[in-house]
Amino acid sequence: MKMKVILSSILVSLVVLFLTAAYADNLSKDIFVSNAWVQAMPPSQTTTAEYMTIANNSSREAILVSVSSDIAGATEIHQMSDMKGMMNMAQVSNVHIPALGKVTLQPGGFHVMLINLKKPVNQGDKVIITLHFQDGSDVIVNALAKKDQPEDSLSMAGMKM
Amino acid sequence: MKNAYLLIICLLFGICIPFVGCQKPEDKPAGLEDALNPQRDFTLHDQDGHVFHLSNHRGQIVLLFFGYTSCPDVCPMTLSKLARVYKLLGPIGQKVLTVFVTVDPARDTPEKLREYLRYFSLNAVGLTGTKDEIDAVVDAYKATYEKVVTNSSALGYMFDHTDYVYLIDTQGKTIHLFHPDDKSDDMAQIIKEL
Repeated sequence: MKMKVILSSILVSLVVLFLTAAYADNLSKDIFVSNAWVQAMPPSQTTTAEYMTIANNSSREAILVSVSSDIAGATEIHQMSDMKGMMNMAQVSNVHIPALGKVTLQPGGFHVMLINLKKPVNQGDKVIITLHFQDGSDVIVNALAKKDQPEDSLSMAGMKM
Repeated sequence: MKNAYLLIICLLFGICIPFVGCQKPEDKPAGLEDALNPQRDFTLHDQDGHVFHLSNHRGQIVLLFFGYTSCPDVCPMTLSKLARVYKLLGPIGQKVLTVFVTVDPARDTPEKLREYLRYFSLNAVGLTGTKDEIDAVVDAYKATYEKVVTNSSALGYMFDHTDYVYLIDTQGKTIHLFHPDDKSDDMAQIIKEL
């Protein structure tokens, strides 16, 4: 009887250990989002953009495949690129964040498009968006709506030319 | 003498080659601005339905920008930067007029332009017209835009467009092109020196 209890305990411990390991394998605990902000827009505008820095502290590449938000009818990832004085915008299917690296979504580069807004995005509003990664992990981001963009976020550095 | 001819040929090539490929302000040779709207005038309608002639604004410095209000990235980026330029200019800003020409007259109604520009706290007019009228202004400034219809995106369509801000002096002459990389304090300094 005693043996059975010991064996069961070992089995339970193993299951717990396995589940913990599986959870630890999820990328979400290694993804850190900073400086998340949304361009505040006048009330009649139904589209805006969200920016942030996504840091990946894991030893694996993280691939952002989609984004969702209750505030928008559709949410997409787009990339701007300045081609000889012409600003081009294109939808992209994913953003790769290298292992132990980071990617900054900023004006003139990558951004999350919030399309068909269900309510105006005013300065000071908090906009909640969820990042969905290829491995199935989700990261919730709280972005602050700002009317004026920080000057240091305006750099075109690192853009696809 | 032969050397002098060679020198002239080299100089000519030196001037012409960058002119052909020139797009960024830092790449452009002196004199490019002379090629931009030599008439120094154009006519469109403003956000209140009034006729706008550039030639009626002699004595004002004009910051000309082509865009559209549903543009989520470069237009708000540029307009919020121009708002900072106005703050840096202080009282000089009163004689600086921002002229936003929409390339999306179908969606940018005068009301939308009015609300949009008021939002960014600029001394600005929003101009629209028929496609042909707008295209004439775009061509005069050797700007460009292209409607991009997207099947996959919920946006429907968007525009690729020239992202420079044209600095036009009090005589209607384009004297500088600001690039999206330019910082507001540098832009304000250039305007102050006029």
